[in-house]
Formats: sequence, C-alpha cells, structure tokens
Amino acid sequence: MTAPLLSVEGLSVSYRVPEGGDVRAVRGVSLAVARGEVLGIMGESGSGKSTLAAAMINLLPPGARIEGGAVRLGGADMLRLPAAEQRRLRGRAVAMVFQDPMTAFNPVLTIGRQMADFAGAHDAARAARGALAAMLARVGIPDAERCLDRYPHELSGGMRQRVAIAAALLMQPEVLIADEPTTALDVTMEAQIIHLLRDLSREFDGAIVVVTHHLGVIAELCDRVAVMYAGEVVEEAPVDALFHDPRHPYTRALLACDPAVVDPASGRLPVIGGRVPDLAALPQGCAFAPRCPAAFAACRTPVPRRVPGPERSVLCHGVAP
Amino acid sequence: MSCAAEEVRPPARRGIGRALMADPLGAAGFALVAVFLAMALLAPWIAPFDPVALDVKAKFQPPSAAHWAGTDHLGRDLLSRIVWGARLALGIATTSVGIAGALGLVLGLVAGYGPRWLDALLVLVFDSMSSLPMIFLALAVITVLGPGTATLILVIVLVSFPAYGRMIRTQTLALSGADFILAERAMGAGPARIIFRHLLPNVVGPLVILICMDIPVVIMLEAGLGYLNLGVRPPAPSWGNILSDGYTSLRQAPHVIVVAGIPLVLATLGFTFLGEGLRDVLDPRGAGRRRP
Amino acid sequence: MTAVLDLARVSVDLPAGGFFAPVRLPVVLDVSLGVARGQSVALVGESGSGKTTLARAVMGLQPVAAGRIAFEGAAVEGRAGFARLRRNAALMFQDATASLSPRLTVGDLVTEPFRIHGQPLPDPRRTARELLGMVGLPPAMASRYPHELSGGQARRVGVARALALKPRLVIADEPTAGLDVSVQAEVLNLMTDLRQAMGLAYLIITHNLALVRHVADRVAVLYLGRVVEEGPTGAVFAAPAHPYTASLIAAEPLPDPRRRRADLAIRGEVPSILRRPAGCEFHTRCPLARDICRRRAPDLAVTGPDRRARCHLAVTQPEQGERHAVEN
Repeated sequence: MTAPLLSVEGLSVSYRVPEGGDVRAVRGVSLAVARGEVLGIMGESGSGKSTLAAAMINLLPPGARIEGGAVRLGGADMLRLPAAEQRRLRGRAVAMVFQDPMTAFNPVLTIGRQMADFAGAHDAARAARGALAAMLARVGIPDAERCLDRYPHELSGGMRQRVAIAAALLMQPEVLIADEPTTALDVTMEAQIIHLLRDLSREFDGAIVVVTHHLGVIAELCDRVAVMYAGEVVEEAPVDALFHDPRHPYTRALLACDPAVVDPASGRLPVIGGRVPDLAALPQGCAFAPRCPAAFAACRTPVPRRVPGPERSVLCHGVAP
Repeated sequence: MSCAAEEVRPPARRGIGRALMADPLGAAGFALVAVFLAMALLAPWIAPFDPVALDVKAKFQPPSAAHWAGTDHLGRDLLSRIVWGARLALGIATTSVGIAGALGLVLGLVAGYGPRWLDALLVLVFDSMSSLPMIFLALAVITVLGPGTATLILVIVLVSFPAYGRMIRTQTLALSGADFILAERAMGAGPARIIFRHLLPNVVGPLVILICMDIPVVIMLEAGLGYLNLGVRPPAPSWGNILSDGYTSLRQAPHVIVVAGIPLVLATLGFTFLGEGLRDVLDPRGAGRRRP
Repeated sequence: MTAVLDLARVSVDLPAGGFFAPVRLPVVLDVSLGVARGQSVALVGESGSGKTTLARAVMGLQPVAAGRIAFEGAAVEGRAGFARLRRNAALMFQDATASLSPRLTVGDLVTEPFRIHGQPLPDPRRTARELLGMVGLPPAMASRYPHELSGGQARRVGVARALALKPRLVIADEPTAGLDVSVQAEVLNLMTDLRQAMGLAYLIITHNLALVRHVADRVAVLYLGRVVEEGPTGAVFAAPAHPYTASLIAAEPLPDPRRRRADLAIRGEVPSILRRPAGCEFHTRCPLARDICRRRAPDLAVTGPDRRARCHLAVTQPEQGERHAVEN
C-alpha cells in the first residue's frame, strides 16, 4: 500500500455534558486512507462516526475536546496546525460533503456566486464561470450554465447534493469526506449519487471517505470498511471480506438483521439484544460484551486488536490472532 | 452540525428553579421580586405606622430611628407608605397583567387555531387596539371613568392584551401544523382539547416571560399616572403619589423623592432580571424540533 | 370478506399559487386501493409521489377532492364518519418524536386515545404500563417526556398509542425512517407480532423496498400521485410489470459488494407536479419509452392474476414482466 493521504492515529474525542462526566465519543481510533481508495466508516447512531468525520477536518462542534491522537494530512497534524493553516488545508487538501446540502449553502446567494467564493475567485469572471459550469456538468447537472444563476432552494435535494459535491471538488482536494451523503435522498437519487461518487473515485486522484449507517451504500461504494461501535473501530476489512466473512460479533449481528438480506418468507428478523452502552460510563473490557452472544470471561478485560488476515483487524477476544 | 445532535444525548431537563438560580442576574431578580412580594403580602405586619395617619407636627423629618425613611409633608411615615405602596403597586400590576395575559392567551389561541374569519377579526382587533397611542388611550379612559384603581387596571389591560394575543397567535399558528397536533387530530381529538391540552402548555412559557418583563412597565405606568394625579386617588399610598408629593416638597425635603424612587428602581430591575433569567432558562429548548 | 379500508378513485388537491390566482394542485389522482382484514399493504413511492398526503387524507387531515373512502364497508363521510374511522384506525407518523405532544408524559400520551374517545379508563397507570409492556418498554418510561426518548423508544411509544384502542387498521408512514438497522429490525418484529396477535391490517407508506418485501402482502407503487402498479408483493418483486417498479427495485443498494449495480437503473428526477409530462407521466425517465408513451396516457390495466399496471407495454406484451426483471 502506498503512503496514506490521510491518517488518523490514536484519536480520542469527548464531549463534556452538563450533568457532569464526559461522553467519550471517539476512543483511540486509528485509520488510514490511500490515494484512489474509498473508505467506508460504518456505524449506528452514537457510534462516534460523525464525530470522527468532523475531527478529520478539525471542525468539531463546541463542547468537543480532543483527548489525544493526531490527524495527519500530507505530513502535518491537522489538529495542531495554526487556525489559518487549517483553513488553507480545508478545501484544498480535504473537503467535506454533508448529509443535508441545504444547510451547506447560503440561501440568498446564487449557486455560481457561492462556488466562485469557494474557489476564491471573487469576481466570477468569464473563464472561472466556464470552469464552474464544467464542474457542475461533471457531477451530472443538466444545463449547468443556467444552474449557476439559480438559488439553492430552486434545486431538488439530489441536485443540491451534486452541487455540494461539485463545490467540494472545485479546489481539487486530495481527500473528500462525505457524511451520510445519501441519507436525505430518495432511492433513485441515492443510486445516482452512489454512481457519481464511484465514478469520481475512479477519475479523481484522491481518496474518498464515506460515513454512513446504510449497509447498502457501503457495499455499493467502498473498497475498505471500518465498523464503529461505541466510539471504537471494532473491525476493519476490505469490503468483500467484511460482508462475506465478518469476524467481529457486532458486524455479524448487524449484517444479519438488515431486512435487505433476510429471506422475506421468514416472519421475524434477528435482532441485537440490549442497548448501546452509555458512553459516559463504559465498561472496563469490550463495549459490546453485554450484548454479545459469544462473550466469555476474558471479555471483561481490555480488548486486544487482532489481525486475522491481510489488511484486516478486529477488536475482539474471541478472534484467533 | 449533525454530529453534536447525533452523539451527545440531550441533557436531561434540569429544574427551572435550579437553572434560574445558576444565573446570577436571574437569582438577583428572583430575590428582589421575592422581597417585594413579601412586603406586599405582609404589609400590615411589617409597616411600623399607619400609612395614612397624619402627624403634621412631625412633617418633613429626615430618616431617623423612629422613622427609618423619614416623613412627608403631612408627617406620614414614608417607610410604611412604601411598604403599603408595594402592596398597591404589585396588586395592580399582577392583577392587570394577569387579566391581560389570560385574555391575550385565550384570544391568541382561538385566533391561531380557529377558523380563518375569526382569526382575521381578532387580528383586526389586536392591530387597532395597539395602534392607539397608549397615553391618549389612558387619558381618555380616565377622563370618562374618573381616576381610580379599577380604571387603572382597565387601562393597563386594554393597552397590553393585544401584544400578548398577537404573540400567542403567531406561536399557535406555527404549532398548529406540527406533527403532534396532526397526530392528535388523527386520533379524533376536538379543537377544545387540542387548544387547551396540547397548544396551551407549549405557548404559555414565552407569555410568562413577556408578562414578567411587562410588570415593571406597568409599575412605572402606575407611578407615572399617580404622579400626574390620574392614578390611584390620594391619600392611598401608591408609589406614584409618594413621588408626586415628594416633587412638590423637593426643596424642603429632598429625601422624600429619593426614598420613593429607590423601591421603584429596584422593583423594575427585579422583574426585568427575573424575566430575562426565565427567558434564558425556558427558551433554549425552544421549538427546534429535529427533522428526519 | 369485506375490506377494512377501501379507497375508490380518491383524489386529493393541495392549495397552491398566490393570493390572486389560487389554484389547486392534484397531488393524489384516482387512487383505488383495498386493505383486507389482517392484510398488510404497502404504498411505495419517492418523495412527491403523494403517499403521505394520501395517508393524511384517509384520516381526514386533508380534504378529499374526489372519490370515496369506505371503512369496514361503510362510507366515511362527515364528522361522524371520521370519528368512527379515527376510533378504529390509527396513524403512525414518520417523525415519531415530533408526533408526541411535547409537554405530556409518555404515560399520558399512550392513554390519550381513551380520554379522547371517552372510553373507560379506570386505572390510567395500569393501562399505560400494559401498553408500554406490549411494545417492550419498561413501566418506568411512563414518567418520561418525549424529548427524553431515543428514536426507537419514541417509535415504540407511537406504536403503543396507536394500539391503545385495539384498532383494526394501522396506517404507518415510514415506520422505520431514521432508525438504526438493529432498531429497525426490532420495530418490524414488533409490528409483525402485533399483527398476528391482534389481527391488525396495515397500510404501510414507505420508500424502503426491503421493508416492503419483508412485511407487505400487497404493494401499490405511486408515481406523481397515480398508482402505476399494484399486486402481490412476491409477484411484483419477482417480475415487475411497470418499468418504474423495475427501476426502483434496481436502484436499491444491496448489502453485498459482489452484486454491485454496474449501470444506472434510472436517470433524471421525478418531474414537478407543476409540470406533469404529457402522455405516460413516466416517459421522461423510462428506458423503454416509445412514441405512444409520449402521446397517450395509459390506463391501469390488468396484467396478470390480481395484478394491474399503468403501462402501454405491459399490456401489449404479456411476457413484459420477465423482460424488465432481466434488466436488473
């Protein structure tokens, strides 16, 4: 594997909550994404996946505190750079696409004006305008020239998401982070955005990180997957291995209960018993142990990271090293 | 940003009282209001003298051990007059604002949830009432009915209910399309049930804040009208009457006007701080409902 | 067997346009649909298909412009008709948290239907406890407020409230929207169990095909407010008769990287209801569109046993269903 474009090393993030105590949203996460790769970060709500995505461009919400670790982007640690330097990297080196593209746009400016602002060319000159239109056409917007003069609310959700992707790609970032890029869209739009991202990953000379809770999106789009549970990456594997040979009991349970894979004839779906643990009061050992069908005594002690195969790692006592 | 909403659990709602006490201004406001309320309720036991008992020989006495706040031009004990004045001021303010609030609440709810024509009619009433200049309305009503406590209350109600009604109507309109109201309708709940059980508790918070912030305005109005001899009839010990008396005797006994001004300022500050504290405590929860 | 719910050529308009030129936009057009006792029918469509509007119209939250709604054989008309319907049918909202009155406790919320309909409620606490138990929530939950609940818990409270008066029909608008995969499975199992235990009929409104395949006996696909295909779930999924149905099925991302979709199933977007295409309304996106599709609107015609579709090609070529299925 070539040197990673973006790597997260032992990152921990916590939130202070009013009742006292810390919610440990991300705990000791290490990840890397290489050029030309699509990395999926998969998790349910409360798994810390969105916090991790925000930490990757160091745009954490107020109240969040980085406890430790680093986010390396081209050698520099994003978390320790001066603010001006970070702003320069955001957009140029790393860009983000959000779940609801409506909130990412200023409602009173035209699409063209905003894209020109993103690009730093404040006078949308003729040439720049051509470049913007070309970028919109690239993400599949019909009649791109006219779209530049529209306002965000005049576009449908799918179109807005395309524009958001185009805007993110304008500065030719090395890493594109997409947080739930299809969650707000209809099935047919979702399919189109998945296709777009897949095409882009082939042409564009960078890496894509997709954060989602949707197993189908991961399977359709990603090369490698990190599964998060209670703030930790519990399993990391190539996408085929993850879906066809999952090792962590949580990954297995999650794959099993998706109605899309279960035989429709069977009346009931398998479930994962119990609840996600309280992130402010985590157990000593494995966070999944209380819900795990295969838990044994050792699961109450700190969990080792096992490496059962090439490019794989699992955070579980039960997996053979 | 989505991650904050997603991953930090909503803070359990703390008691309003405790949250209010955590805010220094809110706590100060609460304390001042409590002192004035105690004064008003316990006036007969606190006041050292009869507030209207004349003692012309002892007129214009500066503050002393016997008369802590001194006496006025008729030798009446000023402290007693102020304590009884608190009862009068708060009594008038809470009664009138309470009536105006209740009226505004009911009319606003009806306008916001009722049929379109009723809404149009009520908005017309609110708008035409609030387009009348307050002081002229007050003077007109007082001229017709004659000054007195009841007139004062009527004036204040007329002046303040349109603002309450309009605010409640706006809130009700915004909520009437909310999913939980639709859900209640789908279960078969009638308009009365929806208005009083589901809409009212959700719009009353901001009204309480507004009322709290309005009480000092009313106290000032009462004092102002009293000063113009259009408020409560003398010799009743209203703060406005004391101020008015103090003004006439400003040269002989400047302490009168000072002593009458202090409670007015403190009460105004107290209610304003309390209102702002309540707003900070009640508002953050707001109407910010998550969307899928 | 009489249908629990029977919709006959129902149309719903929404007001639009300015103050000076008010117009009414047809959002639901000519929908006929039946839900039999104990049956589960899914209404599928993308946003803008009118599926939520139809659900609200059935419950009387939206006036019906044309057509007839019948509940257990009797037409639903006027105040009394809707009162009877609302007593015996329940609507579950897409946003479960937002559908719970925010200043009421869970205990009050789930017993609210008894109060609304003046049903005897001798021991509200016990009733609340029983209802919460039925949906798998601990009794302590009764003293919580809606904003203190997780998405899955709010959904369960919604189910408990819907079932309070033992309805015969539950209309569920996106019952799993916004839920995590594992919670989704729990809610679906709950709905399946309750259906068996109480003989409930469901009308499920969703865009989630995995959900449809799993819980629905019949499926009706809406496009721009019209039913374009209707039939038994298994048969429709095995061989969709309408190209739109086929495209929807093909667009669904599958949780299996070995079965990735190589090409795009459907291009373009749902047209605005302000500018409905002439002819077949799907022709702008249809991979099989012919000349006739641009000129003449197809009728909903029988295409097989118990199946109907609104497509020129589905009628003229009986084997059409197989052809579309191959394209997935």
